[in-house]
Amino acid sequence: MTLTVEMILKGTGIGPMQSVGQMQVIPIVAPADATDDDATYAPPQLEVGTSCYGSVALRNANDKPTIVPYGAGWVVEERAQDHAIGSGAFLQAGEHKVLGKAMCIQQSQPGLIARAKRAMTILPAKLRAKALAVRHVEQYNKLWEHITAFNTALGIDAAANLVTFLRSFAKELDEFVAEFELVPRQIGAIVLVGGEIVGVERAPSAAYFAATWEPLVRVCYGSLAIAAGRSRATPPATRLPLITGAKTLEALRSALAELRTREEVLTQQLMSFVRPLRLERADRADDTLDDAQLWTVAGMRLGGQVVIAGDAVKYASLVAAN
Amino acid sequence: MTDMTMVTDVRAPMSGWAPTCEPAALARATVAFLDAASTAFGRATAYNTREEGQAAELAVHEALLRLDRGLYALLLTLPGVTDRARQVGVKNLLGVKGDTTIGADVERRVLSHLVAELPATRVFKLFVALRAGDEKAGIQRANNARTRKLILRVILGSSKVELWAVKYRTKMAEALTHAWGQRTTSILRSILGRSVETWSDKEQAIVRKALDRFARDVEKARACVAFVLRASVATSLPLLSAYEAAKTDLSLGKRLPLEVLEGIRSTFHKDVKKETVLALAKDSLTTGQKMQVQRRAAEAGVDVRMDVAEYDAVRLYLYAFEMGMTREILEALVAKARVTALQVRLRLGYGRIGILLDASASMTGSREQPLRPMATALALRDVLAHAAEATIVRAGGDGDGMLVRPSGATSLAEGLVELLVARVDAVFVLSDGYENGPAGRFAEVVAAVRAIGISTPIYHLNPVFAAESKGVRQLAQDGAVTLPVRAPEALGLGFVRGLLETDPARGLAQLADIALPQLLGKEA
Repeated sequence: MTLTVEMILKGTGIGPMQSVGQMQVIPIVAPADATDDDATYAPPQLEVGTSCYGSVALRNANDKPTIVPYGAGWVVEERAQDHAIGSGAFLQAGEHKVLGKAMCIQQSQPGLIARAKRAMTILPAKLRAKALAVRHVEQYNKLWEHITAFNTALGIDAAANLVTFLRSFAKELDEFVAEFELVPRQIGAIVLVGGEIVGVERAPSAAYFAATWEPLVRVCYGSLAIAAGRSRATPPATRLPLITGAKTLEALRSALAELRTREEVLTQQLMSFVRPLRLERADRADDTLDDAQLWTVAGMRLGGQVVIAGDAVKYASLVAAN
Repeated sequence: MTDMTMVTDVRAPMSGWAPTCEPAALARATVAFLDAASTAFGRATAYNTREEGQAAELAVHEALLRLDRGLYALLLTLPGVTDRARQVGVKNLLGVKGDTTIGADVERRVLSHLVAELPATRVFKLFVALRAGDEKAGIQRANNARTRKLILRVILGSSKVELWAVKYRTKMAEALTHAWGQRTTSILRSILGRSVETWSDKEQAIVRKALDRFARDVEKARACVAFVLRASVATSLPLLSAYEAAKTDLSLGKRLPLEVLEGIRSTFHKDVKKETVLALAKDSLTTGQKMQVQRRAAEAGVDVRMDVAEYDAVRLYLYAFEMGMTREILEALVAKARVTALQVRLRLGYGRIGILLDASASMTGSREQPLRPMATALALRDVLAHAAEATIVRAGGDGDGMLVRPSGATSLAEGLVELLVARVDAVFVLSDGYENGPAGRFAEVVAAVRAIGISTPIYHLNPVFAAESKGVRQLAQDGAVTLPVRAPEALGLGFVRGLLETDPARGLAQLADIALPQLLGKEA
């Protein structure tokens, strides 16, 4: 079956583009009459623990089912091996589930994660795609080679340790969270880095999106912005500059208004570009919950996972294929 | 204290105060000090490790201390200076010898004032740090006669000595032991454990020298020292008696502080519910506790009365965010804004101002102190709006009244132009500096405005500091002045900081003018 981004974004609107440095975000917003109470899925606030390397035990502490995003990871304070998962998963309300095809992301760190509520991270976009590709492989160190390559490309310690990246760029990563602000009724985002579309996010509710946006912007997409910032100093072409020879405040006001219009046109052009993008579904679903199915999808530009219930796309998280 | 002689003594040396070194160099050191003293909390930030941050902060303190010890001491008394800076300042003044431009007597009063301004918990923490040093806090030990006398004067001379004895029993014993030394403390414990009639002449002399001469109320101080040193002696002091009585009958401890009574409950009356303790202690709650326990009290059906006039505007806004805005809070906020505006107006010097309020989502601030940036910005808005004829433009946010909840993206450029079109004398932007609509647009507009030839001053007042966020962010490198302001009361200080950069000598004189009344006002 073929999906399009248009189908994923059906029934949503957009907000004004936010732009800081190399990253830009077009907010996807729910209709004004939508409420979180309608949402089927709770935000993924989970109890997490490990009992052996390469396996993660999750418990959904909510009173509603939840969707665990693919490439979710847990980086803990104590001395324990941090873990991430390849495929996403459904968890029923209160359900305890062991994901046996998880992966270690902190080479040479011994120790298991004690079960407790943990803050979730989401792997850097490039590693997230790699993790999704090896989601069926049962091997605790399956991501190490890619983490090493990822760290090396950023000029930091070559060990297969994601914490090295998180610590080396902690300042920049933290700033992304404050720089890109949620707008009312936001349930998703189109993410650009260096002027290129690198992500499409669609959550089942504003509450769900608010809970996942921080790890997405901080680490998943933040990693791409950091890499882009290292290779180019100038703002992307999609960040329009204010160039004016205004001699009066009125003229300046007009120039600003005109620039806003051009930004809106640009945003619409970007949406027109992304909406028809096609995605092919994998042969079989990765998980099922009632009438909803979790599918891995891939296209020429984007890939990731979506949740489809009936004809409706309830959730999607797509990152750039390259 | 209402000692006019002392007031005259303090004023005299300051009336002739003048920079003892080149004003520009002193102004630079002062600006750096003011920034550190109002922003540094001695903790790690996103930019620096704790050690890096502390090294830079302590260097700034020491630079001004070396240049002008008197000015350094006075500036520590300014509103807006953090408790952390005051702790470091006390340590520096006690630990480093040197001549002072304000005289030794004034410096002693400054020290007493600084310690008196600190919350009791910080006072005892400082005393412990002075004894042993606190590597984590970047405070070296200062163990000399001045330090020891300060500790004794502060504790034994306090009107709160009895309250402190029950509330900070162990810490108070540690501080006194540091001041007296183990041997004298042991002797005092032995003496105070017996009735006065049994004391020998020598013992009486020991008590007079070590304790009585520092005490505000000799009998009370002796009883409190005996209590904290655990000398077994009967007392008639109400709090100390209540403390002992509550161990057998919790209801007899109703005048004790809430946390003390809860401690006794958890040890001696495990079967009694926490709500009972709240009901018992409701009349002895501190101002801060009355606000903190409102929700808990409402749930427990306990009526805890609080007087909103006792809280500063930022705390009232934070309270309103949690519990909802009421007419009573609203009136208190307006009254406070009027009072503070009177102080600010003279230094402001503008008849018509524009206020650009950033109410975007990032003004929510950190998880540790949620909504504090927004609460501070709202309090600043109120004061500015009462200090001049004001036009207010808001970017983002929810709410139509005084209480605005942060929401949405940050786009400040249009608001700036709108205010300038209104021909205001100055623009005040209240923002955390995180702009995304897009980032840099504000700076582009400021540059365009200046290119037109409009020189209207633009002040960016940033309420977000290192410990709450990522340091003070600028919206524009050129054409706008960014000032860290953590409370409306510190607004005047912010403007003087700007003056220090443009007219050092005048700025320094104004600073001295602000600092001195601070000291006098608290002592008078």
